Amino acid sequence: MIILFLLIAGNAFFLNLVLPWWSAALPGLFFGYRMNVSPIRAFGMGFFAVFLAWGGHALYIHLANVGILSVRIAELFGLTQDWILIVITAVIGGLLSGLATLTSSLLAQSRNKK
Amino acid sequence: MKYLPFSLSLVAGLALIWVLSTRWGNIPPMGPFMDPDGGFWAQAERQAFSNLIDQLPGLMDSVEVHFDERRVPHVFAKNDHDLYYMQGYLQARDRLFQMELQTYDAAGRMSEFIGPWLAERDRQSRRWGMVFGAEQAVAEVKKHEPSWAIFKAYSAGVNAFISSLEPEQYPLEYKLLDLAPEAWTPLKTALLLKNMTRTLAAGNSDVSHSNTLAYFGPEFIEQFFDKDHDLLDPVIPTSRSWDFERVPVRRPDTLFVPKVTRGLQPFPVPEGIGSNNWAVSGDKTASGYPILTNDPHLPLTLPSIWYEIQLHAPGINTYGVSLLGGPGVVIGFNEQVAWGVTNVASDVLDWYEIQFENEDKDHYWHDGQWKPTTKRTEEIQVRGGETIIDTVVYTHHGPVSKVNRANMDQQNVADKPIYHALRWIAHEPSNEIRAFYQLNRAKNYDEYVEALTHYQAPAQNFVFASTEGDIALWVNGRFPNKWDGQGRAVSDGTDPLYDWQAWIPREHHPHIKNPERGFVSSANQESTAPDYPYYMDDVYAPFERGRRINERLSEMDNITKDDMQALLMDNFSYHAAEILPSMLKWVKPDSLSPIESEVLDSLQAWNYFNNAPYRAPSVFRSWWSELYEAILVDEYDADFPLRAPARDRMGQQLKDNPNFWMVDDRTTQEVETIRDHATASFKKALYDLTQYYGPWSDDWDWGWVNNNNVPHVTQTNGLGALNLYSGGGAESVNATRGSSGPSWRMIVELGPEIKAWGVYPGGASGNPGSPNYDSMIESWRTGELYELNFYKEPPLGSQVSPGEESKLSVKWSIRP
Repeated sequence: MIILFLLIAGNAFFLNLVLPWWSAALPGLFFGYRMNVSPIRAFGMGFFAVFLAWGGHALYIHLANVGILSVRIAELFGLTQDWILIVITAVIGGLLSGLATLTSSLLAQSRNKK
Repeated sequence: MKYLPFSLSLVAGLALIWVLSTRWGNIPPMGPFMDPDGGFWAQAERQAFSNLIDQLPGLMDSVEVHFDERRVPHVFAKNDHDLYYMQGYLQARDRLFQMELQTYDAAGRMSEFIGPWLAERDRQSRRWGMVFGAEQAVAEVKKHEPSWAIFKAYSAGVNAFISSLEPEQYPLEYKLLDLAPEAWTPLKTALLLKNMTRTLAAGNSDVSHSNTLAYFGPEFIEQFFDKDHDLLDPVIPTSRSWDFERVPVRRPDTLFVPKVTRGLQPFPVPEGIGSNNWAVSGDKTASGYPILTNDPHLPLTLPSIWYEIQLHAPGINTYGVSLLGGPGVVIGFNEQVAWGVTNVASDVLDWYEIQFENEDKDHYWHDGQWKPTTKRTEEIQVRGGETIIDTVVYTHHGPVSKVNRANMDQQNVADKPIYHALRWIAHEPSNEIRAFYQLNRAKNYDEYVEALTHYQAPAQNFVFASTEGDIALWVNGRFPNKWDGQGRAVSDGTDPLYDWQAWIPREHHPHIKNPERGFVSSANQESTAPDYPYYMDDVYAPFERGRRINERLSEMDNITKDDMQALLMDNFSYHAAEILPSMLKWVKPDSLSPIESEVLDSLQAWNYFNNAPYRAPSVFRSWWSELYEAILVDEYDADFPLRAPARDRMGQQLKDNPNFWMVDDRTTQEVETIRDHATASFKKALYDLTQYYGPWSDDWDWGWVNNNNVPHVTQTNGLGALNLYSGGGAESVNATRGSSGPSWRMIVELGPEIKAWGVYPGGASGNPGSPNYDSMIESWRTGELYELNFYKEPPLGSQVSPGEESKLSVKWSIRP
């Protein structure tokens, strides 16, 4: 299980380097089909995998840039704390992946029901 | 049914993707915007600058670019083509969005770029003939092959950068606005220059002057607008004599009275536009070499309007600031000469009342006959809206603006429809880039004068100093030869005597070289004393900055760079020194509360310097505007634009004759005196300040009340530098006031080795995610200057000396 989780996270991270933002959904679609777990767990795994991948990526950039840009973008959106931007980034990636993982695990389960 | 959960989940996923890829109002598409690899995060610079580039298509030969510790590029090319190609490439690399924004604005394409709410501004830009003017300029540039080659090389450089971009590399603003950059063209460079002309030479008071003349009469005009302030010290010293007769022009016997003036709206010109420049001869300096100083005052923005650069190629080695979108250096120096500019408020924009045959506007009456018009169809694309088609009619004067009939004065409306045409210097064919091309290469005074002959608009006071020891100043541009007062009010479009009949010959332009007093200077005040034979205009900056600079320079000897730096930061308020002592006398002391008396005492003790830690400047400014308004409010109660007296003229009027006719409030029974107004406005000012800043405390410091902000060019929250604690004032040499002020401070000492210092409120990079976005703001605020690295040869290897590793310099070697 932990392997699938890491595969989603790792693939989401690397795919995003070459593909547009929606690529965060692809690993979930691929690996979710191989996941035989409850819908909530499927969503949760997909969500947290990319939450970590995207959130970690954003956090790294935030720290490496000493927050120069995130402070400005946070103010632009009327946010009081710049770390909220990292959370938003992580949640967007997470939601995409969570729904993708859920979708393909539901497909697998529906086909196996017969 | 078994696929239902799957289907629901799939639909939810697709809906999420749709929501995240759509722009909602001003909120960018959140999916691509927040993407940690391709979204805004990609603009967060996370290592020391290098971004090494080693090849660029389109170069003719190899090029070296050195970036110094402030990331200023120093370009070493082997030919002109590569030099301007690299300037285009580097400007685009650092400031692409700003370049595009300026030209979209000039072209009347803001609503296409940003949104429908800017359509009215676009329509006005089109009706002002901005694109028409730019097209005239391009046609003129094409006639001079070297200039046209520069325009093309520059454009190719910009486009080389644009075509290298993947969407995730687009500058932040494109991601915020969900846009893509467009290819650059020479027309856009011409548009940029027209935009500068609009910023600096579109001011006019024709309409309000006509109204004021009709409303108050000629005596009022004479009292407030004809006479100069006693302390006015013109740009060209009064001692200068004019050994020529003016070229005569025919003038009408009686002055035209316009039928309608109410509906015309002038283009909004931001306040706080002005500048200082001066040069002192070697006789007055400690080193014995001339020193030249310049600080152009403009609206302050991030990124800055200026881009600092050194350009080196065979036949040229120049350093200074350039405009984003324009090849060459605008304010700067080379190995022999230095130059700087301030704006000249000559009247180069006139409105004409046009009599058309009928509403088709195919013919208009001029010189006793019906003459044909031409028409130009303007298509204004609107983002998320329908394209607006606007047909603009052109007479020989220029493009026609329609008067809003609802605003017309009914009894004055003639049988035939009335419109206004715009005669404006920006529509004349011109090639300013050629002037800068030659100025950048000028070796001496004569070559400077030759270069200036190619410069037309916006007219500038070009200050000059050379290593040969010359100092000079030319009031330079193209000036219509007008009869006295021509174009001051709305002109008669049917009478050829109101046309611009000729130009002032160049050799008659006001200029001075090596004057006896040992310095030349300008601060947007009147160009000449009244004995200059030509009429240029009557709307110049008040006397204050110019007089202060001239007095200080006269007193100084053994001048050093530090003295010039101190003068750039001089906060003295001549305005306060002139009028405050009288205002203090007028206040009735027995009517004041204890706290009001305390504030009054602090004004008594004030030295008239607008320094940040003082509270007196805050009080004086509020008090003066209350007093000014109290005096004018009853007389100026009209629903059409009127011309208000300048603060220096009003101050002098009050000092000379404190109870002159405007002082009494004619809407009341009693007769008010200046003492009543001074006391009431003082109390009102303190009341307002208390409302805004709380009780009398440090919160009233001028540093805060000055409200010094450097906003982003689109005014976007978070991308500006706001609430800077700054001294200065519109009437001070350090003209920092609100969001306007010195946009570049430069000092150049012209010894055998040129030494130069400079700073602007911003940074080399236009990327808000770069440490170089606003890195010079604090130095600018406190008046510090950086010594400029002016290389004669490409610097060898790394410039890092032990202990200075942070001063990283980066070198690019680029092949074609």
